Amino acid sequence: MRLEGATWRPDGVPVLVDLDLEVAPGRITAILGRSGCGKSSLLRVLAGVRALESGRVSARPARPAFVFQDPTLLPWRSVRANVDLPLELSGAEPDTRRQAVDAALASVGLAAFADRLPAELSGGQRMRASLARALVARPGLLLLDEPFAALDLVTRADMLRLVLHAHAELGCTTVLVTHDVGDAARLADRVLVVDGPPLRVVADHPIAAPRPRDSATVGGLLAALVES
Amino acid sequence: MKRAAWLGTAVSLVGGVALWWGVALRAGPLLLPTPAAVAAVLWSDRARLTAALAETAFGALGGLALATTLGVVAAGVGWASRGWAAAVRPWAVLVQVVPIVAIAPILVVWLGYGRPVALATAAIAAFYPVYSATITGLGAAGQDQVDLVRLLGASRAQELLVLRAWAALPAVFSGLRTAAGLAVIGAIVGEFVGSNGSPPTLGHTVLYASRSARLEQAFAAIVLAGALALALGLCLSWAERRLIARWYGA
Repeated sequence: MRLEGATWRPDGVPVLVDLDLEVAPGRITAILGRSGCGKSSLLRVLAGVRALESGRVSARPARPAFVFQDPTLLPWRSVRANVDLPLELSGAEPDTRRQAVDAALASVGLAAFADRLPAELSGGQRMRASLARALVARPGLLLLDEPFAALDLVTRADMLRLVLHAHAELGCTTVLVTHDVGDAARLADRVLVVDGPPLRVVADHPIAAPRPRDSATVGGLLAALVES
Repeated sequence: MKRAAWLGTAVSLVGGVALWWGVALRAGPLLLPTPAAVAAVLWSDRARLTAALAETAFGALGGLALATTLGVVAAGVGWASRGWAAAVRPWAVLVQVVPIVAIAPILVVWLGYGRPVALATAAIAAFYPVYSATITGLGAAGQDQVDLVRLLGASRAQELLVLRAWAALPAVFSGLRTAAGLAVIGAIVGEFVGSNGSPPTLGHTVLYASRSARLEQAFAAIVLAGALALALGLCLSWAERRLIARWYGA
């Protein structure tokens, strides 16, 4: 997937100015930068929900899915109906939908909570439901906007494991926006360190170490990333 | 805290009735009937007053239903098309700013005496709060929620049905609570000019009882009108709690 000459200035604020970026298919790319530098906006541009002033996104994989920092579940829908949303909007068959939703709920350990409302779940469960919703339609592109930032340590480890598992199974192109060097070191095939606005890439680190990475590997990568 | 709130309400109500009683005893029954006199009329005249209450309730509820339908549809259509929104807005504002008392006599000319006038005045009085609350509500969905459904390829119609209509409900309910009180006022204003007392209505009762110096009867009708508005408001609050509070974990 490629971003070419992307310019986006909402209300005159130059968030993206003539930005070029390439994301390797089937890989996990982490975009690492401090808050407010425009990385969440970049993710929304990649998702195609922000119209660019100029420039374009090409070769966007089919069935994009987005995981927000906040679970962004629709509070009036049961967990099942929330996870079903992408399939419902795509007009899939009811039988296919039911099976896919059951599988997605089971994969994040929420099968027993299918008929609850989001308000009846814990924060971690809500986040897992939101991940199930992203994965239910077998996305070709998975966009993660700091999905681990507001989680406790256990839930966070859980989510990281689920994301890695889903990526291994689906082979989807994955872009993770984060301000946490550790998450980038644990997950990514490539880390883009960014600053801004306007957003610019200040460093580009490929990471070859296989996943899952043990803490020693992650520690080494972390040191290298921080040093740069 | 909750007990203190109940106590405050009770003391204020009892105090208010006591004050009313004291003033009534000094002023005399021609100017202000005592609460006991009003209660006596509520009992002795109960058959006619109940019929009047039912008639006014019909006008207010029917008008509220009409206003809700029109207000929600007008706001929804306005959301779908800016052109429509711009076309509807001046009329909606006009309905809001022209005093209902000024429209009512004309409605009698058009609709004749009877129920339709009260229905129409109640609907006119209740329309704007529902309309404007629905507009606010349709804009209430979070940006992330909107991004989500758009990313999933939702059409405008799907965005409205899957997301915005639901996200609008808390605002719509708050508009409805305002509108319910206004619908009762609207119905009574309609009955001032559009009801000849057969069938009996609360509006007609208030008007003719006060003209013929039977204030205890007018007050009895006013008490019932207040109770009607209160009951409508409580029903709406109950429905809102049952429906919406669960979603937001309240």
